[in-house]
Amino acid sequence: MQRSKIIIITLAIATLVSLVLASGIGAVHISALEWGQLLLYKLGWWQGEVDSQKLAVLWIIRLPRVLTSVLVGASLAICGTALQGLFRNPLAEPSIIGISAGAAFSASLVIVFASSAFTFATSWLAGSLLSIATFGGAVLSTLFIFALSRQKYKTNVTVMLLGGIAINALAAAGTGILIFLADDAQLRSITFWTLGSLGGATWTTTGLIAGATFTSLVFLLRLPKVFNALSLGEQEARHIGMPVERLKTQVIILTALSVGISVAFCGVIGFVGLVVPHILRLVGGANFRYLLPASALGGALLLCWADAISRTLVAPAEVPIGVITALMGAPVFLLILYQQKAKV
Amino acid sequence: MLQVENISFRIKSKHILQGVSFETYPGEFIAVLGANGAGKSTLIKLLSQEHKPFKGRILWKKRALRKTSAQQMASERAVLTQNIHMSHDFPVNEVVLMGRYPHFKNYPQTKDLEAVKATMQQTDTLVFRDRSYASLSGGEKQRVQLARALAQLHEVDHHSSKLLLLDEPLNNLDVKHQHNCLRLSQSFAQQGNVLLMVMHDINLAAMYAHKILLLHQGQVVGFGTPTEVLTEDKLSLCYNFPVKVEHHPYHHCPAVYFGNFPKAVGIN
Repeated sequence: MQRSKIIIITLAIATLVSLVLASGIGAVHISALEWGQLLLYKLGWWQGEVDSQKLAVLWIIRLPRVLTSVLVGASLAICGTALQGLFRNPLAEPSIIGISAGAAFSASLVIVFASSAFTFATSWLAGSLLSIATFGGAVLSTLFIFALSRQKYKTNVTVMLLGGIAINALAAAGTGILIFLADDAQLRSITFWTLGSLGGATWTTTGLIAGATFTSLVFLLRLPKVFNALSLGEQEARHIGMPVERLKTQVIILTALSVGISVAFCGVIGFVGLVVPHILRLVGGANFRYLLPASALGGALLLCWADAISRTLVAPAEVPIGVITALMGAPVFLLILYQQKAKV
Repeated sequence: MLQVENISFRIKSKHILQGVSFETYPGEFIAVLGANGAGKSTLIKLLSQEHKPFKGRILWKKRALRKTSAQQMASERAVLTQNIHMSHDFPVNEVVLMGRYPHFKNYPQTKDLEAVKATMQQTDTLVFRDRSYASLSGGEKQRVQLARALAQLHEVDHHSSKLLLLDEPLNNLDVKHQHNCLRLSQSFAQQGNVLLMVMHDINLAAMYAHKILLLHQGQVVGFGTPTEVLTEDKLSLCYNFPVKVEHHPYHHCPAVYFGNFPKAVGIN
């Protein structure tokens, strides 16, 4: 118990420090001291001289972006942890049940078939339509997989996992056709959606993402007992009085909400929900009382730095953040597969 | 206490249980016996609300099980299923603590930790309380799961009877721990509770159980004391194997011998 508390506190401090450091990194460098001054100035608690250019960079560009990375990271990682608990399998991840792929596919559909009506880079309306379509795609694919795997008031987890694989394949094929049909500008937009970027972050999108993230946190952090009990088995969890069916519904809805909203604004960012809980289980054990909060913090930390790398590595251009998380995540995925093979 | 009234259950067209009825009273340890596929585990699944019977009803304290939720039952019924596979690895004492989940909200109270300690002591698992569950042997895992089931009902409302359902708890246990498990079961029942145990060793059942429920092809062949139920006719019908029943010289219960017997038994 002590060890897990130390990990959580360390992660919390590291996340806060990273928030300051990562928002100082870039073409205009802002030191931690300046960062503090700028924030106090903006809040009206400090009346001194500040560099107005740095203030604008921090307040309008960096802070919403870094906050978005922290919030998206937290929600993707905690949803990954929740899905792994629900599926009783460490390979479960928000993208595995087809939510991310469904969302990205419907975004691509809008880009290609509605682009004659809008200019996507500039139109606010088009942006909103795109976001709604993406969120809708996430909800639809979740509901589809949920309906598919329901039988007699119970969820068949095997069907759910295999159904997720099928949705992923379908969405990938559909996106492939759209890429074939798309022109150059559309192609770039599709790339943005399938590989992810936090470049579009504003205070409005940050607020929406914060709403979804805190909803997930509030619900999921109250349920460590149910997740722990599920590792005994679904029936065994019912025998010790855990509301298993209610948990399934909650996890499905929260995952659709969190992942849908984050894909809508940031595109597909995979593997966060896989890597973070896996590493944290290795260092601190599988108890969900520790794993759920630690995952949220670990995901925030990971995505904060993944985004910092994505925007500084080849500045002023950007490496898509999905590429970076995949580069970190795929080896971990293979490692888990290898371990599972060794176990059998 | 526990009334099973004419229940039937089938999977597709295959009848697993047909017209099973019996009634148990506080303080009874009932061994459920029968050949493979006789319906023993299915009966446990119906009693633990994993399945619903197609016909008939089950009453616990005069209340229909159909009208009670598994959540309500968790404070007075514990179930130990067969072949539990843990999807994530936990320290052993956390696994046992899971049995206390119905009794605390967020953090375990003193009485929960006491229950964990007491039942781990009873099942001889306290020595590996801090080890990882995955590192245990099959028999050790079985004892930990038994401790979890016992912890769920430990010191919960003394005045009210509880129901413990154990599906082959003796699997993988060595002789000493088999007897220990049976003794624990006996004393649990004697505190005014009801215990049903699916098992395969007929002689152990005869030694420890108050009553035996003998199933054959989904129907009750016998329900009563070991002497009443464990007869050569009934056992050879159920197991389709040669059997002799004698009197146990030390425990004064039936002693059952299976196998082909030489025609002449006597002194040279």
